[in-house]
Amino acid sequence: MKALSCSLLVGIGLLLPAILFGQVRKEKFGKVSTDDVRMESYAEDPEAGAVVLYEEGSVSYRYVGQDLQQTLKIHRRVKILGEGGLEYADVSIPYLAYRGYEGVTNIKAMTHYVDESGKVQSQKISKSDILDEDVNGQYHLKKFSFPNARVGAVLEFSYQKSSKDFVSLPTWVFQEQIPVAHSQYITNVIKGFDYRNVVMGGSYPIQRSQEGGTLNLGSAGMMNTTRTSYVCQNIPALVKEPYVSSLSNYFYRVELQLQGVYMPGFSEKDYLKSWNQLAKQMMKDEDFGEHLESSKAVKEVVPGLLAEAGEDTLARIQALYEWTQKNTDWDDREGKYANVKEKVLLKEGKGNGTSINILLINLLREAGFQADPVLVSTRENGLPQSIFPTLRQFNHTIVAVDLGKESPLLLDAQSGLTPYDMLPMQDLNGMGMRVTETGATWIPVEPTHANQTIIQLLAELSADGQLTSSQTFQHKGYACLTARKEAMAADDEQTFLSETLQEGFNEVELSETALELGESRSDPLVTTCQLSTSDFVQKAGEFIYLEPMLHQATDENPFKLEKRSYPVNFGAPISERYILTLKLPEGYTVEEAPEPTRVSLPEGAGSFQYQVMAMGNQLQVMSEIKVNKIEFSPNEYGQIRQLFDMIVAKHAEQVVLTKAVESAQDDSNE
Amino acid sequence: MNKHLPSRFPMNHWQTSHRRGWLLLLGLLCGFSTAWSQSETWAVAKIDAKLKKDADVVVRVDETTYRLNGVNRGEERRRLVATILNANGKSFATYEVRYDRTFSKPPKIEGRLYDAKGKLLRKLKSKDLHDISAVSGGSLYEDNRVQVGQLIHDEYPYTVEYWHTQGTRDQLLPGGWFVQAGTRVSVEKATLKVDMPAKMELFYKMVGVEQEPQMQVDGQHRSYSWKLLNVPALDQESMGPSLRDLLPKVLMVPSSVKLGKQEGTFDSWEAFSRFFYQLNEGRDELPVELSEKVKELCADLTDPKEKIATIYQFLQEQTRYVSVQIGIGGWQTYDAHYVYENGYGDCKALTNYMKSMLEEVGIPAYASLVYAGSEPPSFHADFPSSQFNHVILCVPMEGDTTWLECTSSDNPPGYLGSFTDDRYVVLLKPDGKSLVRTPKSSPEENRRLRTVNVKLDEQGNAQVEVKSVNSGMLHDELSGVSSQLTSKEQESWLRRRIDAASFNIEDWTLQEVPQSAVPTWELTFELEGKNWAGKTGTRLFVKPNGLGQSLPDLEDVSDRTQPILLHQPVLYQDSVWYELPAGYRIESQGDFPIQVEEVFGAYEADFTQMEDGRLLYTRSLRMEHMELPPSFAGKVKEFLQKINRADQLQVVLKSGT
Repeated sequence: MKALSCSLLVGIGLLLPAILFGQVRKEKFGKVSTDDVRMESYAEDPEAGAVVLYEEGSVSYRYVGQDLQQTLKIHRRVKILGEGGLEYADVSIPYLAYRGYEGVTNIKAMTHYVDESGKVQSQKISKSDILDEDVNGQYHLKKFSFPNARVGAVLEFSYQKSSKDFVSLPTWVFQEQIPVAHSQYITNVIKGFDYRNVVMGGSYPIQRSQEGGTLNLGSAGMMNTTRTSYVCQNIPALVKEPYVSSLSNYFYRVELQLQGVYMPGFSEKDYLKSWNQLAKQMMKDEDFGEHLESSKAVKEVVPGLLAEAGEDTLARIQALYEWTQKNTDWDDREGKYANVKEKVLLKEGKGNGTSINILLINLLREAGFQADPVLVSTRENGLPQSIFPTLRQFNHTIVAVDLGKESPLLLDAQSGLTPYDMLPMQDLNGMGMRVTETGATWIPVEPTHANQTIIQLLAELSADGQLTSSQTFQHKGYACLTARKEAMAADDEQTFLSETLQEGFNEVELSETALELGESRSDPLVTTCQLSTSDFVQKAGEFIYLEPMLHQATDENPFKLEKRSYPVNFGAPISERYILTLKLPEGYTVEEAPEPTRVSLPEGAGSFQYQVMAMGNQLQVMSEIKVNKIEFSPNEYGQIRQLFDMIVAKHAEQVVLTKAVESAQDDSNE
Repeated sequence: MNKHLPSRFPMNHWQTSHRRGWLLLLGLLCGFSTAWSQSETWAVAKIDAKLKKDADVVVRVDETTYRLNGVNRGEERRRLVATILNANGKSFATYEVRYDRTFSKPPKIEGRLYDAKGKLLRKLKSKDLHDISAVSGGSLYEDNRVQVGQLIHDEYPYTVEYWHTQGTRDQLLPGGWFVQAGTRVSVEKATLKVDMPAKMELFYKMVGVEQEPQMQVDGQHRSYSWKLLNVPALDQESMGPSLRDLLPKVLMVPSSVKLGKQEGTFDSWEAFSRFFYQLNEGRDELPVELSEKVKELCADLTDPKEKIATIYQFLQEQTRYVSVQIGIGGWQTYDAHYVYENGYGDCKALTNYMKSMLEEVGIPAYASLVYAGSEPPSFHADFPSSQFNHVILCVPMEGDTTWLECTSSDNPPGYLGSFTDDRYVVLLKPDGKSLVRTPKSSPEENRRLRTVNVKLDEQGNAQVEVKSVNSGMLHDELSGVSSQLTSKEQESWLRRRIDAASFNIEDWTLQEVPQSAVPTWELTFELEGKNWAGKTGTRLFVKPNGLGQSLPDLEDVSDRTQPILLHQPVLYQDSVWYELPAGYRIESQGDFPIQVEEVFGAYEADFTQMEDGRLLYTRSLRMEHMELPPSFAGKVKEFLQKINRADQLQVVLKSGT
């Protein structure tokens, strides 16, 4: 929770009305300045493959027959600066053609370039080269490719997108993966429609201005409007970095949400006033709240399940959860609304995550628990925000059940592989909104399990450098979930075992391999085997050099970048423990061994412990890596990178063994 | 209102071509159904144990019929019953029928779902059906679509049954019929029936199928029928042939073909070549301005090689690859005017454009059909048919033919690389020999020559300088990175490519080496390398092959049945110099030199201390382009293991005496 609130503070700010007057530019289609066409590089980012010179989006309204429609006019100019930028010459404009919900019209496109004789040429695209692709019967794409696109060209296009949804305003994204020189968004909305704006994903100065205006709606007459403009300039390109849940969290953008309608003829004055109202709206929805009622099948099955589970509260919850898992299968769809009715879900056995979890709520309620749905946004879908009320951000529903403690237990039965008290990694995105008949409550959604592995080896080294060992490898928490998924995906148990057990070896012989999946999903996944290898041991004269971390050495720092501009997110805490007990070959002693080490990050965010101990003819090696904090900000990135550098250095150390007696004889011979 | 709109549908069947090009109808398997007896039951218990071995799916029945009612008319019917044994066979629960909107209506798919006992659970409903566009990667627009039916169930095993009928006004036959749709699929019964109009014949070639077809003539039609029973599942072996080559199949071509208004036959490669030549004839007229421009460019040139290079460079600067395919546009090129107007085209159009420009200055050239890709499937030279997915240009010259890849913006003239070299192509010409091969390259042409200087300090950290000169196939990645990525992206590419524990990049350059016989690029970089050597007490542990590459392991060695394919002839040569921290000496070194040699490759690694105290490690690995019989598996595995072992050898340095 702490990490999340931090990033929210950085990421989201409410825009105050600008004192400066917005510098809205007025550009006419086709009138591109010669300077832009002749320009050879973009001063703000000389390496860029392309730059958006100018983009405008303007929202207005019109009547089509009886329907009031919203129109979004786009006008965009992209300058190609390198071959990598030529991908911007192929354009796809998606729209929802389903029942005429959206339409794209008036597409104009023009390439401006300098020809061989040094003259500026402008070439229009012909109508016949604009194609319409029906993607799946619902979504369509308008597609075209700019004629004579080349490095140096300015590609200009404009179009109009109409939508039957005249209430929600499109989100405007100022930032792209190429730099943007000038971007402006103008909304000319009917006076009385009150929108609130939230800026997300970065902090660059936006100039916002507002004035009154009018709109001619034909037969409906003139309407008074509020005209708001947002202008942003010189926005740098957003570059992809690894270990990020979703890049879309970080594009600089403005989102607009209708807050209220203040005009005669509208009974509901506040259109979307609060989270509580949204919760109530969900509760009344035929695909959400109305599903929260047990079907006959649920009423029949619960008493038997409870009787079998006994009196223990958690055992009861587990029984209901596992019954849900067993009787349903996820249909690979997502959504915050249920897509099948409970009866159909139980009959056909498949539905989306929300349908499955609502079934679980009904079972829990039938069993007397206080259980409610919790709306969440999955990691891939982007971070949720609790500042301004909107349902659009959610794409999944999980379950909160009260145990009489401070915080409820969170459940998600969508996957067939999770134990009852563990949420799948994709749910761990900071917080969620608990929905009840009386309103909404934001609650933290945090991991209750770590990504945990424990590996133990009992080994013997022979004088000729052969290592034989028994190995027990335990996977717990999220590591267990990952291993279960891999085991399920493998052709069979043997394939899974030989593939996972050979990892990290060049050559190894395995025998007595075994896999224990445990009785319930809460049990760890354990693999055991006997192994024999000559990897990690090099024999040279009187010396034997041994790499004591064997196949478990962290030999590369996963954090290769020197600096980062957005956070590293691990999803769940990490804990990796390695213990090797090694019997040395007859007559050998330890000449040199790694020094023990123990390092901790500030505030217990992470630690590393390592030691090698020689006791008689035995060597004990222990390594433990812990990362307790889930998110590291760009400022803290150096810490985590340095921690892993230390781990890599320590894991690269070796133990030097010498044959005590013979080397003494050798010395005396010399 | 749009709560439940499906997101894009997963496309999970194997689809062969990425650029359809002229790949003549080598689409998916298509099929058949008529009235079948009600006595069929799909209980899993009835499946022979032999068919369950190594299988995720058992195809119970797969009946396909193609009925041609003329050269350009016909109907396909298919019925498929498949038992899905486990989650790995899940893709069979989805049934896909491809079609082209120009020539066909959407096919009607019907289906049923049965449990393990063979009891009917439910029928395919309209909500289980989806119609989606099937534009292949790299293409802007195509008319291809796919109709998809999906019956998913959560309890394995279960059985799905699908059938559909589809009429078309296009060529009906696919290039091939596959007995199995993939690996780990066994078949109880598969049948193929092709009904040709009585006046026509079917040319076919059987690959991995032994039984000759049954022939029958009745009134209007001449029929060819195949029936295969109890075909066991296949597994793909590592480094083996592609799926396409592995699966038994029947290749098919009708004796008369028609595209648009063009009619012909494929009874020889000459006839095949003539057909496509004529289909694309008369599209080479240049606009007057362009004609003048081309003549002007070549006005002062006499050597045809120079003319080719000049015009090719002009092509590369003025055009780019954009693929739009509508109607028979998959087979017939857009004309030269279209490319001139738009500055773009697909492989056919750009090749035709280049050919037209060369003709303008008196240099004849042939568009050539080819199967592009670094691992092409086997070519059936004895069966004239469309085995291609791409077009390049052949400029014949006495003893020194030049090949041009017209979709590339950065290849030098004459360079094909692993995309199209060393394989059969068909030159499109009105007459004469048309089946020829593109040139083959040697490991020496596809070389990486790398020099590394490592200055070690006593903590095990190092100052590292690397210079890598890559040529031929090994330059492709470097030139691609240089032209396609911004400088920042290039640096993150480099960071990913460096295989070292932890480092900071201090400086780097990437540039072309001009005037090389084969295209050559040079990459240099300097690193501050952390933990370059492991350090314990008084010792440093160095793996001299510091920036090495790990080789793949060969699996499936014992009982191997499939050949081993080594696709790229390459040569890697490294010299790594080490400067040691003061006071350190060598305590031990691995068993250098190491030499491994086989007919398919050679490896050598050595390590010496020079007089000035520096250490020199050298490594060379050469691989041939070869297809080895299965009996070579043990040798290949041992070769790779010996190298992997040698690459891991370490040198131990000790301070003091």
